[in-house]
Formats: sequence, C-alpha cells, structure tokens
Amino acid sequence: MNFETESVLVLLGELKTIILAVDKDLKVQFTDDALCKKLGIDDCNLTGEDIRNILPPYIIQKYNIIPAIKTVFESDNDLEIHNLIYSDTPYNKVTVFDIEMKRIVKEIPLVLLLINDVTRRAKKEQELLLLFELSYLMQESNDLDKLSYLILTAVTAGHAFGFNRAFLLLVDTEKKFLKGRMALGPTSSEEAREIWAQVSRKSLKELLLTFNKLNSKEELPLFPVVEKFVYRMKSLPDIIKKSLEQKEVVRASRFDEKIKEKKIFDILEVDEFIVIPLMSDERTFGVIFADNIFNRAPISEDDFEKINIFADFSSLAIKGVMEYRRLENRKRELEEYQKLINRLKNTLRFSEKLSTLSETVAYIAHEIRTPLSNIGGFASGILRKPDDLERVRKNAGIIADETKRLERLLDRAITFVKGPEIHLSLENINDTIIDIVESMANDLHEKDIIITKSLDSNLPLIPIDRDRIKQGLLNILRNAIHTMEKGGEIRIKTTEEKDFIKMEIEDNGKGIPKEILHNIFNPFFSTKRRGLGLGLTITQKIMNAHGGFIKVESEVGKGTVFSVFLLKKKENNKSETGTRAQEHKAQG
Amino acid sequence: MEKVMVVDDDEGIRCLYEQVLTDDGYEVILACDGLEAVEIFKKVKPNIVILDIRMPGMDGIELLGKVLDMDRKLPVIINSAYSMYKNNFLTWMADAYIIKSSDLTELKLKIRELLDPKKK
Repeated sequence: MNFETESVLVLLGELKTIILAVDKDLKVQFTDDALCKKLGIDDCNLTGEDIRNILPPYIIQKYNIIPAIKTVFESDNDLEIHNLIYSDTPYNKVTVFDIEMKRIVKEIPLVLLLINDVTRRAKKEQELLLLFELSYLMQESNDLDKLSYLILTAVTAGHAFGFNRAFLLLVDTEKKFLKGRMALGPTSSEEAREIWAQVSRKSLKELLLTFNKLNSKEELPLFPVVEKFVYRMKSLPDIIKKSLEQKEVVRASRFDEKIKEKKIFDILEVDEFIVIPLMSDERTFGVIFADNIFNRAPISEDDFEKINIFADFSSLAIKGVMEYRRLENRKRELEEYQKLINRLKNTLRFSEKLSTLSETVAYIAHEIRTPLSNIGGFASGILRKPDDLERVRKNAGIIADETKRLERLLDRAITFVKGPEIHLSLENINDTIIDIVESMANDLHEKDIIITKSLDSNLPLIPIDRDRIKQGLLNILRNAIHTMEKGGEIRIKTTEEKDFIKMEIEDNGKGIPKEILHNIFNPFFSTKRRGLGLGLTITQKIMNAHGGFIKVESEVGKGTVFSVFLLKKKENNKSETGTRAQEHKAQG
Repeated sequence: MEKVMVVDDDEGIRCLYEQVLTDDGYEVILACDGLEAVEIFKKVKPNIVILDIRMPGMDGIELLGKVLDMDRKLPVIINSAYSMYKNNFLTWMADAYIIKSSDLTELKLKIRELLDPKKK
C-alpha cells in the first residue's frame, strides 16, 4: 500500500461512519473502530479478513453485496444500497443501514464501503407510514370493538410501539365509570415469543384480520385482567387523573412515592407501565395502560411524543365511533317510532274495518230481524187459530213474501262479499237501457217522473253481462228517483268516447251535498231510511268488473249526473282500468 | 175496548200486530209513518202507542216528542229492530223499549202492564 492510499484511509478514519475498504480479492484492507464496536470485537485488526467473514451472511446474501462490490471494481461507478434491514435480537430490534460503495481514486484498487446506520431515520419514516396507516384504518372502522382492537394492536405490534401488553379502559355511556374494555398481549413469555414471531411478519392490516376471527372480546386471554379495572369517574386513581389532566402520556413506576395507589401495579403484576390518555377537547374517552412485562424493556420517553400523537387520533377515531353509534341509535329510535306509527296505522285501519263490520252486522241484523219476526209472528198466528182458514192463507202468503225478502237480502250480501260474477255476451247497451226504463214504468208514473232518452244509434255491440249491467243501472236510477220527491225528469244519453261507451244518467233531483259525495260508493252508506247502502257499491263493483268506471257530478238543488263508462273491447287491461276507476272514484 | 196504535213502516209488522192484538181483544189502529200517525192522533185517542224508530219522513223519536206534547200521560212503547237507540236519551221518554221479535209475549205483557198499572 502506498502512501497516498494510506493517507486517504487515515483521513476517512476520522469520520463517524463505519468504513471498510476491500480489495479485488474481497479482503479488508482497512476498517475503523466503529465496526469493531458494532461487532463487539476488541482486537480490531481485521486487515486481510475476507469481507464475507465480517458482514453478516444474511446481509451479504440478501442484498447481493459481493456482486455489487465486483460491479464497482469493473465499472468504476459508485453504487448505493439503501435500507438494509438487519435484526439479530429476539424482540425485533431492527437496525437499518445504507451502504455506499465507491472507488476513491481510479489508480488505487480499493472499493470503499461506507456503512451508515440509518435506523433512526428509517424508524421515523416507518412511524410516519404507520401513523398514516393507522389513521386510515381507524377512519374505516365504525365498530367500537374493532377500533379498540386496532388501537391495542398498534400499541403492541413490534413495528409500531412494541409494548408487550396493552389494556384499554373506556368511560361508559352514563359517564359514571371508567371500565376495562379490552386487552391485547400474551399471558406468558412462551406465548409472547410465539406471538411476536408471527406478528413481526405481518402488517397492521393483516393483524387486524385476526379480529374478524374473534367471536367476542371476552375471548382474548387478557380479558380477565382488564375486567378488573373499574373506577368511578369521581374517584379515579391519581396516575390516571394525572395523565388526563396533563393530556399526555405519563410513566407510572411502583417506586414513585408520589403515586399512592399501587393496586394497578398489582393487577398488572409489573413495576412500570405507561398511561395513555384518550380524550378530545374536554371529553374523556378513556385510557390505555401499556407495559413490558415479558422482556422487561425499559420504557423510553423517546417514544412519548409519537404515542401522544397516536393517542390524539385514537381519541378522534373513538369520538367518531361514538358519534356514529349515537347517530345509529337515533336512526334506530326513529325506525322504532316509524314501526310504532305503522302499527298504530294498522290498528286504526283494523278498527275502521271492525267498525264497518259492526255496522254491517247492525244493518244485516235489522234487515233480517224484521222479516224474521214477521215470519215467526204470522206462523204463531196460524198455530193459535189453525181452523181460521182465511187467516192461515193470509199468514202463509206473508210468510212466503218475507222469506223471499230474506233471500233477496242474502243474494245482495253475497254479491257484495264475492263481487259479481260476469257472463259476457255482445249486446247493444241501448237495448238494455230501453228494457230497464220499461220495467220501471209504473214507479216512474207513480212518482210523476218522465225519462228522456237520447241514445246513439250507431253504438257498437259490446261484451257485457246484460243482467248485471241492468242491476247496476237500476241502482243508479232508483237513487235518482229517490232524490226526486216532487217528480221531475231523468235524462239518459249514450255516446261513444274513445275506447269506451259512455252512459249519462242525469236527474234534476235534490243533488248530493259535497260533504257526502265521496261516500256514495262506500258500503253501508245510505241516506235512505230503509237503504242497506249497498246499491251503488254493487253498481261500482259491476262496472269495474266490466273494465269500466263511474264518474259522478252533483250540485245540490240542481241534480246529479252519473256517467258510466264501459270498455268497447273485451281485451280489457284490468290494471289500467282499475286505476282509472280509482281516479274517478276519487273525483266522485 | 182499549185502543192500541201501531206505527211502523213495515207492512208485515203492521199486519202481524193487528192480527195478534185483535186476538187479544184490543182495537188496533195502524199508521205507516209519523205523519200519518199525527193525523190519526188528531181524530182518535189511543190508550197506548207502539212506535218503530226508523221510518221515512218523521222518525219514531220525533213522533214520540209530538205524541207526548199532545198527551203527556199516554203510555208509549218503542219497538225497534235495533238495540242501539236504547242509548239515545230521547228514547228514555218512552215507557218501554222492546226489541222486535217473532215472540210477542214481552210486548203483550208490557202493553197490559202499562194499560193497567194497578195490576202490577
């Protein structure tokens, strides 16, 4: 080695970086004390040693150190390898290196290896990444248990804060108690080693997946321990109070005389732990206890700043979850109210139905009772005087009439319940109308009512059930006659209107007051003394069954116009006409 | 002969009551609605009146008021197919409320009782 080489190396020896110089045969030509210290060798004469014997084989292999050195020799270009990670301690104490390889001077056949310990820098970077990852994961979780698990994982994961165990205590909803909620960590050293071996290879996100396999937080091995922490908010232990008051991490040592409450140490079975406060603004959510029970590693205050930041966004996340829960509760409450309202609505509908039903029963009772008492009464009359033939004949006649009356009542009731059965045939509606008017001639004459017909002679035949339509129109006419106590005129008009044939029945009777117009199709609605209130209901059912509908216009003192629309073709789109019928019912 | 007035819009009922009450020895006066009843009442004074409630024109309750205006002491029986009018206090003015039935025993007993209070 010539002088120049020697002087360069001496100069380099002044620097703090580990320096190695190797020749083409990979033999160390120079090294400094830093390396010896790092390797724990007292006699630092490594000159002539093969570099492969000095650097850990793991590093040499993983980062291709030898080919790299050869490349530098051959190409004369410098080369840098960053973030070589090395770990030889059981608890994941990691060292991170950068290695720079340089030819110092072309003429000198040496490659200089500058090894910088960048662990602190790498750790800082790692921490930033971790905090970022954590905050991201926390934002994602809206389940308090999952968030608790995440926070505790961060406190215990080796690549995060690396505490042996962590205990989460949260303030209950009534804000009366601070209670142990969840704890993470092994229960023994053996378990610890096993867990750490697994944990060190997993990312936070992967660690969180184990949460999903968990049935309940009570399953976690440390739950029996964390369960023991129950404090009244009014009388919190000093150390917790201190942490909450200062709003930062505090270290608690059993040997600190200022700390009188030693129970926590006993429960945790440690002499030292930290209290991490979880709070936002003035609201306290809880605290975390963290300790190093297994490796007894001293808790360094270096990490406190980082933990405080972590505590801040953990608190924010908890606050978020609480808000979310509150909103969820509110939502659930609203849903409950909605359900209640719906139930009440149903009850109301049901009781409306019931009241209609009870009205039905009352009407039917009346309608049945009168003829029934007549039948019974006249039958008794016969029994009393069976020899009075004239009376027997008369009473039997009345009994027969009353029986017919009951049958008619039953027919109407059945039609009403079942809806009319329809047997269609092609008919001219005008003929039907003429028939009806003829059949009513006597009534009309008696009541001094004239009927004027204006029938369109070009109407097409339409598919109808003639008898049903007759029944339906008859009900309308009877109603009209009923409103014309002093006689008057009924006008009947037929026309074609698009897909329908329209029949107008116009009277100049009393008219129907607006307040009751919407009721006229309702069952059991009647203004007649003896009316069952089913006439127009049945009429409407009949017209609907034909795919038609009824429209009503009325003015008190002037009269009423019933417009009945019947479909011309058989291919009646039921749903469409149904809707139309509804609309017109609403109008009516 | 004691006169019983029957006011009912149902022809069957009128006919039945006429038959049964005539058999029992009463003179029966029939009216098919309130208006007719009032007209008859002006000419003939019955000893007792049997009223239906649901009738066209003037209903039984209105008629009850009119009848009692004319003769405060006249016994009146309300005879209806409905029991619901029992709760209508206007019907309390009547002396009895009997629901229509093919068995007229109750009605007959009531008539007897009201016409002959001393027998009670």
